[in-house]
This record gives sequence, C-alpha cells and structure tokens, in this order.
Amino acid sequence: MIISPDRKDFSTIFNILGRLTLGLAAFMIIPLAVAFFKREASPFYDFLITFFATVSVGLLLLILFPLRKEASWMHAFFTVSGGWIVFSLLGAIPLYLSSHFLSFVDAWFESMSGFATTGLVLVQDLDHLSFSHNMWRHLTMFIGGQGIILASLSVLTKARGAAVGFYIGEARSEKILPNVVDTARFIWKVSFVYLILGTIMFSTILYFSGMNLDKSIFHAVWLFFASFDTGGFAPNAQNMAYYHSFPLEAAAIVFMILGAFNFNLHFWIWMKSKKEIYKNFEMKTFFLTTFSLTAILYFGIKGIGNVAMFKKGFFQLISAHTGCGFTNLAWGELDKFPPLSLLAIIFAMMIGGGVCSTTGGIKLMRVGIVFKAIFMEVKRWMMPFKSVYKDKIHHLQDMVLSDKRIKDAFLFFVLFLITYVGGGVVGMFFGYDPMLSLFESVSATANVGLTVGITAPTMPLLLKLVYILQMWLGRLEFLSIFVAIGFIMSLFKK
Amino acid sequence: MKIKIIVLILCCTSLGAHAADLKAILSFPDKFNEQAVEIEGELIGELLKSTDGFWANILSDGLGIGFFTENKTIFDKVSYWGAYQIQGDTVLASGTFYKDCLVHGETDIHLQRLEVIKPGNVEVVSVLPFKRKLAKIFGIICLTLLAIYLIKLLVIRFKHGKRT
Repeated sequence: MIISPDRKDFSTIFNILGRLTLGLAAFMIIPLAVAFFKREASPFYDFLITFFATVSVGLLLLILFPLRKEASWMHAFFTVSGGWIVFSLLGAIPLYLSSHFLSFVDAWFESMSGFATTGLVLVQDLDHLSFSHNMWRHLTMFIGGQGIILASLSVLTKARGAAVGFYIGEARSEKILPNVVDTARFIWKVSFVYLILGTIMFSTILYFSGMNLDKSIFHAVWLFFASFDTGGFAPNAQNMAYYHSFPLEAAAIVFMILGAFNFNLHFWIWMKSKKEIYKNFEMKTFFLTTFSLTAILYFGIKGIGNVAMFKKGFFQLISAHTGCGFTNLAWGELDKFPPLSLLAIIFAMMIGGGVCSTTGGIKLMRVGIVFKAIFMEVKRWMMPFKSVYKDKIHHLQDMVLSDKRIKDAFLFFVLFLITYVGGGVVGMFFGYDPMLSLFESVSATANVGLTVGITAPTMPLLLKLVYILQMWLGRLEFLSIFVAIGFIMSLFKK
Repeated sequence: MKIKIIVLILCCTSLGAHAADLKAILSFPDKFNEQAVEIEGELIGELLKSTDGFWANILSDGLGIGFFTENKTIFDKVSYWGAYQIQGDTVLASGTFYKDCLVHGETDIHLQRLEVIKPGNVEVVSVLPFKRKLAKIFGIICLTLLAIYLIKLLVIRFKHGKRT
C-alpha cells in the first residue's frame, strides 16, 4: 500500500522547511559580517535584504503551518527535495543583487551549482566580485557539501524522528555511528579539523606567494571549501590557474582526494585502523580507475612535457574523479584535448568518489560492484550448473555481495547513465557537439564543474534549467526527488 | 654595445609581435605558440612570487592569462591591480606565448615589455536607493512576523499552562 500525504503531512513538511530556512538564514550572517568588516556597503545591503527575506519566509512557514504530525520518512524526502530548491532560490538573491549576473536564472544556476557542489559558473567579471559575495558562493559549497539538511539536523531537535530519512534523502547511504545525529556531528567535526588544517596550509602557501595575510586567509578558506567539499569554485575567473603555484595545486589534490573519501573511511582511519585504507573496496576501485584513466589521458596528450602532463593531465583527472572541478587550464583549452583524453575525463567524472562523501557521480562503490558482478556472472557460467557462488568485498568489514546490493548498484548506475545521456541529447538539440554536450551533461549531473565552454551566460535558457535540474537530481541521487514526486502523484489517484 | 643589441632585439620583438586579442590567441593556440604576442588588458589581483620569478594576471575581454617574468622592476610603474572596487591599470603587455610552457607546465606568456596605457582607479560602488528601501521593507516584514510568531508561541504556552 502506498502512503498518500494529507493536509497534516503538508503542514508538517512546510513547518520543517520553515525551521530549516531559519537555519539557512543563520549561515547568511557570515557573509553579512564579512561585508560589514570589509566595509563593502552595497554587498552588505544585498545580504541584509536576503537575510530579512529568508527569515521572513522561515517565520511565515512556521506561523502558517504548525507541526501537526511527528516527522517521518515521507516528510523527510519532501523536505529534502523541496528544501534544495527553496535554499538555492534564496541563496541566489544576494548573487543577483550583486549585478554580476545577467538574469535571476543565472544567479539561481550559480547558487544551485554551489549548493550541489558542482562548480559550473555563470558569474560575470568574477575578478571584481566582493569578498562577501565570494564568501557566500564558497559557503554554499560547504553547506551543500555537508548536506543542508544534515547541517540543520545537527542543531535541530524536533525533526529527529525523521533523521534517517533526511540523511538518506541527501544521498548518504551509510551511517558512521548508530545514531544519525551523532553521525552528522561526526561529519562536521571531521570537516572542521580539515578546515583548520586546510586554511593553515593554503594561506601559508598564498602568503609566501606574495598575497597579503588578510586576503590569503580568505582565499585559503574558500579554496578549502572548494576542494574538500569538491565544489570547484574559485574567487578568480582563471580558477586555479590564477595562482601559478605548484605547491597550491598539490595541496588542492590532497584535499580533493580527502573530500572524495567516504566519511566512514575517515572515521575508520581516525578511530580504528589505518590499514583499512589499503584493504577498502572503494579505495581499491579509486586507485584502479585513477591509474587506468591517467594512462588513457596521458596517451592522448603525450608530448607536452612532464610538468605540463602533471599539471594539465593529472590535476584535471583528479579534479574530475573527485567531482571537484578545479581547473588550471586556460580558457578553451579543455575542449581542444584529444578525444581519448576527453573521454578519460568524462569517465572519471561519471564515476565520482566514495559513497557518504561530498562528491557526486555514480560512486566508486557502485561502479566497483557493477564490474565485480559482471566478473561474478562470468565465473558462475564457468562453474558446474548447480553450484552456488557468492563473492565478497571489503568495506570496513567483509561483506557478501548479495543480489540486493548488486541490484541497488545497477539501479543507480542506470539512473545516472540515463541522466548523463539525456542531458547530452538536450545539448545536442541546441546544436552543440555531441562529445562536448555529453561532457557538460556529465559534469552537471555528477556535480563536477569542469566545462568545455558550453556553460556560459549566453547559453540557451532551457539548457540552463536542464543543468539546474541535473545538478539537483545528481546531488540528491534521485531517490528523495522521485519519492516526493511519487507522493504527489498519489494525491491525484485519490 | 650590449645595450644597443638588447634594444634592437626588443624592437624586433615588438615589431614582430602579433597584436591579437586574448580570445583569438587562446582559440588558436597552435598558431601563436612560441610567437611574440601583444595583449591589452587590465592587471588583476596582485604580483605573485614563484621560485623562479614573478607572475601577473591580465584580464582581457573577460579572459585571464598569466604573464611570467624574472624582472620585478617591470611592474614599478603599476599603481593599481584590479579587485572589488578597484579598476586595475590597463596595460599593453608583450611577450612570448607558450601553449604548453615546458618550464611552468601551463599556458602562459613570458613577459618582455609592459606599458601602462591607462592608469586604474578606485571605484566606490554606492548603495542603490532601491536596496536601502528593500532592506527597510523586508526588515519591517521580518520584525512583524517575528512578533506574530512570538505572540503565537506565548498563546500556545498560555493555553498549555491552563490545561496542565
């Protein structure tokens, strides 16, 4: 029997959404403070308007929709899928008011790109954007990467009944600790420790590169948000190429990889056994895919010198694989990569990082399981007819590769593939090159942010909306959105 | 004699330079690879140090590229670097374009000459009147809603208290 929501359910959903909106408003105090202390008058008003508007929306929802029911899974899925739309729209207001965007849709695109940790940009004249707006752009990645709802869940108490629903709704299929709220808090703790480490590391490099201390700290925080939360925004139009710093790029690679690790793996390495890193199925898949895709990429771009091979090849591949989207390439350089190298990057983007990490894409675990299942099937055919054969994988502990696990992996594998290709077809419909259309579609869906030049303020409006949809679907991994749509459909069947 | 030769080389370099916009250069990197180029654009950010020299980034037609030089004094005449509320100096930079620089591993231009053609300036972005008005309106709405919400909470607590 399918549960169909009633009026009380919607009242509960909007009530929770109101509380979460107030949580988002709390985050807006940070850029507001930056604007105040940096004496950026116009941006200060941009954030003041947005702060008041966000608080008003939150309060209005709380006043109009009382909490009529105990929050459950159904409410969680609705809240998660609707919440991301509401938050990205509210988050777009200060960006639009900055006058650095051609339209509100462009600002919404940027905001969704930030919250979904994608990194595709439509901002104009980025090099003259204020500190506070840059702080907000990068903060959206941190909030989105950690999980907007998860962020609020760490501080909210009323919605704990639906905690697991919120957690899974934001595309996290594994718990680290028995309690989801404790898991959320652990994820925040890990992130804050790395935030401190990352800020120290990046700011030291930038300070010794000639940047003043104040600016180097700001840039360091933003680069940390962008690398660890695998977002890929940067405060300059040239992205990482602005800094011309090998140590900075090396540090970014470290944080991109750390961000792509399963948070469970962080927990295991911190608290239990460091050896897990060598035995873990996701890590083995990561090393295997990185090695093979690097080989393919290098084969395509060979002959440009070792330093360029590392900077242009390996950096891009890691950026794609971890779903970060940082680039140190010049404008128009990526689309001139040989098709083989471009294909290697597309595959890296498609795969993504670990489950329960800040990355998008199909995820290492699922890709690994799909390939292992294919090998298992081949082996099975090679065995006597009545023999039973089950394979194991090691992910924190030895696990039998059950049919359910394989089915789940294939389900997500297919859903992602359909979305990748679907977006590519839409791009082709607008006259873009098939390979480049596929690249951009994969980049949007897998929340990567590398671009071959299609994403630009001048691109068709419909394509912008399609990419927004893809970023949203990809970040939430379909489930909560599909379930929410299913509940809405059930209303019409009543 | 030595100075005369350097001047002659510089003259020849600037005479042979392709005065192309950055978009054209980056669109056809093979054509311009290892060629002398001249780019007009705004200096942005700051002068960055590296182990072997200095880097400056120039923004031209919305696109940026790094210029490398070992000679810091080339920037002595620069007064403004572009940032928020700062329009950087507009410069004419000439140097050699490298599609895949073997030394730095990136697409860059090794700077030979830099000429400030228009000094930059500080541009204070004033707050538009509609923003002040909007902030006031939303502020009032926000406070009103907060008051309603708090009253509602008090009423609920009062009712709850009466019941218990």
